[in-house]
Amino acid sequence: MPLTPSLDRLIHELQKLPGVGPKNAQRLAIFIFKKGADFSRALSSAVIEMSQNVKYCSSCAGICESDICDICSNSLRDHSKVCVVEKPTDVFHIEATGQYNGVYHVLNGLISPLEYLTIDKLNIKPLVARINSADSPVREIVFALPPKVEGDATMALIKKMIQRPLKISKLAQGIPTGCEIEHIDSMTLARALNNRN
Amino acid sequence: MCLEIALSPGINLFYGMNGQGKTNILESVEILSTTRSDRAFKEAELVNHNEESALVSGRFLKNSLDFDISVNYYKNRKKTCVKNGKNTTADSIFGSVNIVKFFPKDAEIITGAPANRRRYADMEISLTDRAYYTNYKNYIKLIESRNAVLKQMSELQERDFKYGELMDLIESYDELLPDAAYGVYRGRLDFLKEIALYADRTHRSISSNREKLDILYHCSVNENTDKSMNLTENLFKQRLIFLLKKNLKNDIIRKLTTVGPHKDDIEFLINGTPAKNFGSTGQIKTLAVSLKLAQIDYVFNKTGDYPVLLIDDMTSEFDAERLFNIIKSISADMQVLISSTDNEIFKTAFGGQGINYFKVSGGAVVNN
Ligand SMILES: Nc1ncnc2c1ncn2[C@@H]1O[C@H](COP(=O)(O)OP(=O)(O)OP(=O)(O)O)[C@@H](O)[C@H]1O
Ligand SMILES: [Mg+2]
Ligand SMILES: [Zn+2]
Repeated sequence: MPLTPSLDRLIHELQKLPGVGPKNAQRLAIFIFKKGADFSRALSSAVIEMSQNVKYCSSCAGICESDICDICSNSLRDHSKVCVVEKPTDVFHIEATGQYNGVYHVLNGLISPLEYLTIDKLNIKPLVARINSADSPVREIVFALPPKVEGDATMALIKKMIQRPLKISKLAQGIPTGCEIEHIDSMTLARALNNRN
Repeated sequence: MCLEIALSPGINLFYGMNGQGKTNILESVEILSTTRSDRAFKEAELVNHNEESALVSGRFLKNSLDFDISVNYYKNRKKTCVKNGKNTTADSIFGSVNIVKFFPKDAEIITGAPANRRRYADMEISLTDRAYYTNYKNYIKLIESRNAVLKQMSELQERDFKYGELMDLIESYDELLPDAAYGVYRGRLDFLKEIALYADRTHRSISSNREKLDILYHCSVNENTDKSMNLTENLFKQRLIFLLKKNLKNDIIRKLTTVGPHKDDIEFLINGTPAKNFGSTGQIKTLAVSLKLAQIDYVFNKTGDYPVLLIDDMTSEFDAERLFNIIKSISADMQVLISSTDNEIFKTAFGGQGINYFKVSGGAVVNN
């Protein structure tokens, strides 16, 4: 059901958000209208500012507001240890435990040929290059991928592509199978980090 | 349209003419147990042609705990599930309630394609064993993923750089497959062993001790001439790894993984002869009933509870009186839902005692 041209345009854009269907988009658009001009200005400037400032770290592909993230540029962190995660938000969850002092690598997805997520669509080759290069400081890889088929296959594949002897560990079990990193409470996650196998 | 039914804890008989909705009512209980229907190929088929969505809700009482389950189906969206008022996944509802179905299609377990038998075993095991279910789903996902990669490889030349990358991915799946495959193999063997024990007992008694029932598991990983010889865990995994490698070229051409539990089969023998090819119609019916009755014992042994029985088209399919007596001999307080075009047969056979009658007409219960 079309409303007014401007509302329809907003609804059209909102519908592109994950989990937002036509009905929800309409509800959100009307809500934004009712909240008034100040809210709309604040919302749109926040969106624009975010899109101008936030970028992927050129080293780990985590998200940050500079070319290289605070973690990668921190010389006090242990750069011989790389924690491999699926999503940028996983980095923040692991950081919140305070149990890890190495650096990260964000894959931005997991291997899933059924969803056309293949090697080239993910940030796997840069990781392998980072590890395999002659002057690489990396000595240890910690896999913190979700314990499900996609996570296990991604880990097995990366292991195959690594051409140097490294210490490799993964988060200890105790994390429920099929569980996303973000749904694990900090305590459990901290324990899993300390009992890697 | 909405239908609400209060069932009695004993026998509930839904009777009425063809096409009135009797099977639909039984199917709704199946949905609350498994979140799916064996009859519908796609979820959308469960939604009335003139509606956008369909809702099945049930309240259950188990070990003096009561809980509510709802499953919502939509025309264009995935189903949603609710347990005790909270949105949840289909997996967490699956198996909350156990059922054993006696449906006219049961004979297909014996006479149909191998996929029918695998589905039978996997479904029955999964309902009482969550670890099996999770592992089974992982296994299927591994095989489907591997097949998707095989398909990509079939479109490339071996000297392509991409081909080598995909080979790494195949090898990754082949590292993960043995554990998952063994879990499926082991689970099915254990299940069939227990079922065979119970089913042979009932089959003998229904056939007045004339027929002996055996169940064999044919494993595609097993290259022994005697397929009934079970493999040890180590041997199974070694054979699977060897066969995955050996078949790889062929798998790429066929875009399918040609070895593993998803290719296995189950064989039923009556007095040593395969029932699938040589069983008479009567023998196959008896065998199907024996398997289902064995399922009741199996569920009871695993969970300590009797399942809810769903018996569709009682009068046309079974020797009603005999089946009924067998069921009642197992436990008098098992909850049973029966559909039938005929209610007289029950009245005469059992004097109608303890039976709750529902007349079904035009998708509604008209009196009871
Ligand atoms: N998606 C649908 N939308 C509307 N009607 C449907 C849909 N799917 C099935 N039906 C109708 O529901 C009825 C089937 O009901 P059901 O199979 O429960 O009948 P029954 O009482 O078990 O019949 P029988 O005695 O022949 O087995 C049929 O009339 C069929 O056309
Ligand atoms: Mg029917
Ligand atoms: Zn970084």
